[in-house]
Amino acid sequence: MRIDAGRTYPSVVPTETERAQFAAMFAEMSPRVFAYVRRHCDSATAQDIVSDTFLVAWRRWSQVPAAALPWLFVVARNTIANRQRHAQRQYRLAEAVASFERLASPAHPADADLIERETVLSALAELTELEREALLLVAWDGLSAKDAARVCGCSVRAFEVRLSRARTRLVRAMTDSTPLRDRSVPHGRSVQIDADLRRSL
Amino acid sequence: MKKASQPSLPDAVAAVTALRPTAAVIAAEWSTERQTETLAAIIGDHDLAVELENATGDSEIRLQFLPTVRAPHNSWRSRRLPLVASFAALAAVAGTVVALVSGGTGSSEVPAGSLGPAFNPPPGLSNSAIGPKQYSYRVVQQIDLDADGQPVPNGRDAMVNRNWVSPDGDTMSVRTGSQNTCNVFPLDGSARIDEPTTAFLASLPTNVDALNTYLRNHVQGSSSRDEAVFTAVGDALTTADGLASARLRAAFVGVLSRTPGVIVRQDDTDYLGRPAIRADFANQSIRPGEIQSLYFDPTTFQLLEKRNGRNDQPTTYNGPSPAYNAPAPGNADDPETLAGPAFVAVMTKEKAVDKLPTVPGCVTSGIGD
Repeated sequence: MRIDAGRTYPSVVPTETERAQFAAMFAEMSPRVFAYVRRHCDSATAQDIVSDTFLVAWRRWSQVPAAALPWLFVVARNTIANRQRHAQRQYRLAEAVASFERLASPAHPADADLIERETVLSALAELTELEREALLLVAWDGLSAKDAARVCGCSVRAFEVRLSRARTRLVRAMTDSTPLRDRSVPHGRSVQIDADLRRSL
Repeated sequence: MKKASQPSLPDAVAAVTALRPTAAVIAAEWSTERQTETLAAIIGDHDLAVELENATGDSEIRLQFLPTVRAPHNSWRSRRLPLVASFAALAAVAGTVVALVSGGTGSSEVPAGSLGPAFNPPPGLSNSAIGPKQYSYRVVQQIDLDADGQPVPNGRDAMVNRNWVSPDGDTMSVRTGSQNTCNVFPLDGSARIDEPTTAFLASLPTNVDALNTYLRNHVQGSSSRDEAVFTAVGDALTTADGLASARLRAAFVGVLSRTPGVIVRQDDTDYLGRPAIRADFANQSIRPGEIQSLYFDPTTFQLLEKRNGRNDQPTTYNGPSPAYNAPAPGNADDPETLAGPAFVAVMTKEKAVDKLPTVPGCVTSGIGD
């Protein structure tokens, strides 16, 4: 059907095998996609975005690669970006920080006696949005640098630089003995959040 | 609560990794039930579309397009300026052009020079509609646009609406998207402008002045007779466009060009970028902050699109319709600077078909009998 100049649409009837494959992929991947999306928006919106993401995957099933997770993340990221640019401006970065704090495992890490959960989360909140995204794509979502770079829409080299900077800043934030609440405003989270928010709009 | 004095880089990253969300945390918000519902909805929508395709032979049904990015509803001023600039050229080919509104009540308020000839249908248009054994099949994509003109994912009204209308006015409606339903609407009582039959539409005059008189005498509802005429034209063609002849549809456009509060222009495009005649109704007194638009194919005069645009902060402008008294440039309350969310219903397909689809759970007996 030509509904726009120069565009045509494929027409493929899915087989039962394809349905089963899609359902299996959905069952395996949708929680991981949800975990990724939930870091960026509230729960209800995240559910909608996951639904949209897999609807696109179903419509383009023949194009979904075997290693589907990075592909799904890219689709989800684009959907999130569209919403945040135009419809979700009220969703502040502060809430995004709250989202990943809620998501973080409540269990203490293995080396809990060395680094506490609160310390780690506070340090993560100190990172820029891009740095935090880079770090969590690797540490939480388990993506390789190459796949994470695709999700971020940048080169592998640029991603590695970003990730390295994120790690360095993470350590620095962990070792900073000054409590966040006591830091002067120019170095506080709110200023960084505002700056990130402006960049993201 | 102890804090690390000097965590190493590996320690720090390992600490982050160790906080990876657990399955239980995710499942609390993305439950198995929710997953099942979502999966069923994704595949279910597709299955219904496949069934419709098989029933109708229409291979385009399944292809619920992903809306393309479009510019927001342009401000009136930005569109009016080139029209005014080329006014002399338009006037030279009067009879086949569309220009600004003329005639009607309140015309004395019209600033000099802002009026052009009313639209007159070109000669030679067909006076026939679908055949007595056919159905008018029409596919309309409904899209919610945000304030920046971008489609809203999962918009409240976002759906594909497919209608089959018999010459007798019975309608079978299949909706997919925000609704997944199949409904049959037999003609309710006698045919009328918002629920027409082929015979009813064929009985209407195709002379613009006569049709204008008829509509103004028969429409009801709305806050003004002008708006009621505009609404009636949209209602007559929204579903049953195929029951009307091209000649009648063109006459409707002619009526709109003579309706107070309506601005008609020929050099526009619809949401899909198709050339279109666009008719805007705006009355800041009764509909502050709103523009209702109808888009027509400039050759067949099929209704291509209906659009309602609005501003979440209604203008405080309280003057007459800008069609009659455009506010001065730079006025902060200028109603022409509307930019806000919009609802678009754009026709993606229209044709005459010989049979209805068979849709499970949708009884069609009696339709078209």
